[in-house]
Amino acid sequence: MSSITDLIRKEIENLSTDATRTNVGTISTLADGVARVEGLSKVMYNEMVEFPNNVLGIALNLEEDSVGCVILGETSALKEGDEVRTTGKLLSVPVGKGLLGRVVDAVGRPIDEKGPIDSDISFPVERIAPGIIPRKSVTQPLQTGIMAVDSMIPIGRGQRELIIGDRSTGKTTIAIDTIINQAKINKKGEETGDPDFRPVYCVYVAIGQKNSNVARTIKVLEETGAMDYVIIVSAPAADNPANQYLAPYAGCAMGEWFMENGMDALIVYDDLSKHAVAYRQISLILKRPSGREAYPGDVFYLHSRLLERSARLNEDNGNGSLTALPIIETQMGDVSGYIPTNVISITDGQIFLETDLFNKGIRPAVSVGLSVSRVGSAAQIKAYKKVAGKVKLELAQFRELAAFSQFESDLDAATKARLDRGARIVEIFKQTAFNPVPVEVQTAVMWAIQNDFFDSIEVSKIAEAVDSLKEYLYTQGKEACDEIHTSGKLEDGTVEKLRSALENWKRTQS
Amino acid sequence: MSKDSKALKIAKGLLLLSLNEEGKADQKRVEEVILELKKEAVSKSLPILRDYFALMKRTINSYQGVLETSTDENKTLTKIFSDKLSEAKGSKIDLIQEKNEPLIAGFKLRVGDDVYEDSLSSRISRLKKSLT
Repeated sequence: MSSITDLIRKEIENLSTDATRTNVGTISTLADGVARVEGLSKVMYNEMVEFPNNVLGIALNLEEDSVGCVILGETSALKEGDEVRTTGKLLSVPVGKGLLGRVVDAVGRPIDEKGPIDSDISFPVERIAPGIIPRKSVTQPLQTGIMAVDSMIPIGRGQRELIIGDRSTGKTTIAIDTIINQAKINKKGEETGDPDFRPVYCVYVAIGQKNSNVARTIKVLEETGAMDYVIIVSAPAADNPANQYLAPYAGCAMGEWFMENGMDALIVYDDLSKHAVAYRQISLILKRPSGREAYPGDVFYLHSRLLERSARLNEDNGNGSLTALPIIETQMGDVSGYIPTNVISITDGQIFLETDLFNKGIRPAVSVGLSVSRVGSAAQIKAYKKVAGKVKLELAQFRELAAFSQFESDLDAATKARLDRGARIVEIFKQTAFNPVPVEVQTAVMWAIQNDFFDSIEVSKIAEAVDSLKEYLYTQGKEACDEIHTSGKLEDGTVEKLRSALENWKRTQS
Repeated sequence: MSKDSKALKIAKGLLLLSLNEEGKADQKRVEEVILELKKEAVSKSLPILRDYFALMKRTINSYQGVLETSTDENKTLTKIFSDKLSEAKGSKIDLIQEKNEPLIAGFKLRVGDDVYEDSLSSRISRLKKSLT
């Protein structure tokens, strides 16, 4: 009882007794989640405004006679003539570790029925990206656990790598696999108690997706035990466009908190095509001039200011990082669309997923020719760099020569060998969803490819052999894998242990 | 030029015609403006009238405020507020006092887009907000 009265007394003591001054306006028109407000002469750009019934909005268009505000809540209770007040605050969201394991909306309110968010810090959703001086180059790998990606298109902490492809080509799966892999690495690292271990926390931003898809993603993350390291920001298709527009910025603010506090974070924007569409809708309702494909003129800035906030900070600034995996959906494989080209030019590389490969059963359907990581092998551990160096070239040559494979009898021996190896690499890179492979096992498998351990195995049986090899490496080959994991190098002793383990495995195959 | 901006431009011109030398709305001039507008077709005059109304409201609010108190009219209090406000704004502000019992105690003052409030009801609602 006394604690309740104490709480109220404390609140009364903290209450300011000064007269308040607010700037007000009245709603003159209201349509499609956007209100035109007369008055509000002192409102700031991007300032939060308060409508009746605790509904919030943001002032986005400051015009001579009125203010265009997007409404971030239920609009059914609002009507023409209602009073709107300025709050003097820019839109902010809660940040911090208290958000891990939670599902929140675009303004950081919990939507998972797990009670209030345990956080007393908030960051504004719109922030200036780190400048040149506090940054440093990307050198530390961020393992996705996907062999095709980690070997050919390595991603580093602080990098922005676009995942692009048509619908149903496995874009979200790559992002979710990466998140699951971070959780696995985090758990393993925390178990060892290594003080230098740097966990990667993840933020998954779902924009304009079906609620059922978001629920499925949450279920996968919960089942794999990854949810403890993940924050989900959801602005589903049923949400108003203002929330869909804000969700990536809100998620980014949550990720930035980790970066600015010396930690590493990964953020997935799923997807920015829908984000651009939501922004186009808002802009058209606000009567902003439209340009190509009816997008407003600042649609490039919309994504560049978001993705520039991902960075690797130097030691003087805490050494934190925020890695971004934006997703873009293309139409009929056309990467030359307006939004895809914009985002390709902003990011540090892209993973292009092809429908044809996906339909052929090559999953992940990574197109070797169109995918690139501008950070390259700088984001690979030494051991992996040593074994994966030639794979991309070999696979690209294979894809080029594959067209000639029908004339097999007329081909020279070297071409035949290239086709043969390529077909085996394709099979080795096939990987089931939500099943990331640790980097040391990937290194061992890649070493096996380079040292011809798969050459005597029929192509149709490669997938089976790879599974058996992985299983073998997790058990009998553990010693060699552990050495790779700890040192990050392929030293002579390790190579010998690996060779002996693989020879033993090979014997079990015959 | 779109229909909307054309109507607004005309409304702004009509507003200038409706103001006296002190920049305040003159009732006689306003009546004349309305009379002239009535001669036009409704489809043409209505958007102009709407914009004219909004502009006029904003102009009047800039020199005429409303003081809401929970008590009955108190001319001395109104004059004190009016003088202080005129001094702060640098131009004469007329105040109209209105009774607003839900304030419980204190006052609420509206001038233009600004609302100054120091009432018991606002303090209670702030306390309510901080406790929820």
